[in-house]
Amino acid sequence: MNIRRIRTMTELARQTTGKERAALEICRYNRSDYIVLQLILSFFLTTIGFGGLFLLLVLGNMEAVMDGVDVLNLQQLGIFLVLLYAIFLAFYLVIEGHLAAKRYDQAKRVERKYKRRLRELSRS
Amino acid sequence: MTRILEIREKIESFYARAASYVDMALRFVLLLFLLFGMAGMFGGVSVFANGFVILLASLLGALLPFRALPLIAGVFSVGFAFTVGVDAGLVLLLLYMTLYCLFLRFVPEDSLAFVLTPPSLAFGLPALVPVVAGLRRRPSSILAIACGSFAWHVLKSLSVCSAALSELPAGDYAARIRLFFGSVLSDPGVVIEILALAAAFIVTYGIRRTGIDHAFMVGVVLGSLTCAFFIELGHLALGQSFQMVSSLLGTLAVIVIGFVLQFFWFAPDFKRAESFDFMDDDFYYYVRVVPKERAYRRRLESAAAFSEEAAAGETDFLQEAGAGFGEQPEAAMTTSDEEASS
Repeated sequence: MNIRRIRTMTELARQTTGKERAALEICRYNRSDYIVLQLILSFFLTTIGFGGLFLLLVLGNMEAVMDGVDVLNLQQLGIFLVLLYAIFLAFYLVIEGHLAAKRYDQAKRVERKYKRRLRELSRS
Repeated sequence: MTRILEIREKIESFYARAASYVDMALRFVLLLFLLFGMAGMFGGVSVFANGFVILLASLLGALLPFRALPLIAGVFSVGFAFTVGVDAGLVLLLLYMTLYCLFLRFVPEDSLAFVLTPPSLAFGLPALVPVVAGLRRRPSSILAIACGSFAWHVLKSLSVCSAALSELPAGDYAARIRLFFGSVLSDPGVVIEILALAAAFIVTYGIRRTGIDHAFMVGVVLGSLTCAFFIELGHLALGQSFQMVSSLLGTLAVIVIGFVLQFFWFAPDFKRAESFDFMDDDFYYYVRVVPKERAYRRRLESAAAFSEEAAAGETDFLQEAGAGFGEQPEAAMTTSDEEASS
């Protein structure tokens, strides 16, 4: 038995489970494609989250909202909410973009290790 | 002390052999404890309070990874909320969805912190999760801890107000939701507690990262005390009564648990720490070597093996690295020889 080959194959098998497997899945995309995909996902989740947060705040203060709805300028409130949503979304998209880029770079490092072991295996 | 170290090594070797089974058992026990705790909080005779259903759910959770635990606990908590009222169940579901979309999706590895924060608050050990997370995790764990704390307050409010909610008319949603949810939103104590937990985490994490001797133990003590200090300060600011005895007992318990965990996770022997400095063509190296605490028998065996290698003429890596610009390599070697033979 070639011990070195067995050791390399074991390391490769270990890299195809868990976090390493997730990293190899990420590397199937281009860097920009992966980041755009994560941003699109984040757009939907942030929109749902913002809607949920708004609903929760309204529900928690429903009596005050119902008392004050007569005097509210709905147009101004609508513009304020749209602006707030835009700032909220921009903040989350910047964070998600940064995290996605970092995740992709880490995944690339894992992929390089994996390819190096593949080359060692083919040589042994 | 040697006996304790040997017991620890036996536990570690047992875990190394049976890690998957031990993890399954831990998940089972944790879920059982959480779900029975929730059943005790909400009472009633719903399907979610049925012992058999809880047992089945715990068995399911034991087979799934740790990340499934918050999902199972969340399903049961929403189920219990629905037994209080449809509006309560929907609000709790909306809360979990919002917390996930805005915060928890960034910290999937800290799902255990989210799940363990409510029971630690229930048992009067608020500093437990932030201190333990500060020893092991990253700053993003604060999100999971804060979400867990907020979820706990909503659940507690729901269980406390369940009797009052049953007396309110079912259609008066505004009053019902204001009673169990609006009270949490408008309670400054919730914000103070979340800030106290965050402070405990930051103190523990910051001290852990300094790399000073006994950083873990110092972090555990100061983190626990920081949490208790800020919570009592909050009580003072809100005009509430101090709970010094329970706060002190909780802090002591967290310190003891933190020391026990630190003993298993990170046990350096600072008395045998050594410092070296040397250089090569590209870098200057300042190296501090802190050996792990080991059982005395293994220390004797490694010292005997070292002596045999030295007698057989193996070269020392210090001589190969070249002369340093600090202590002489011979002086450093003499020190390590004396330590090994003592």
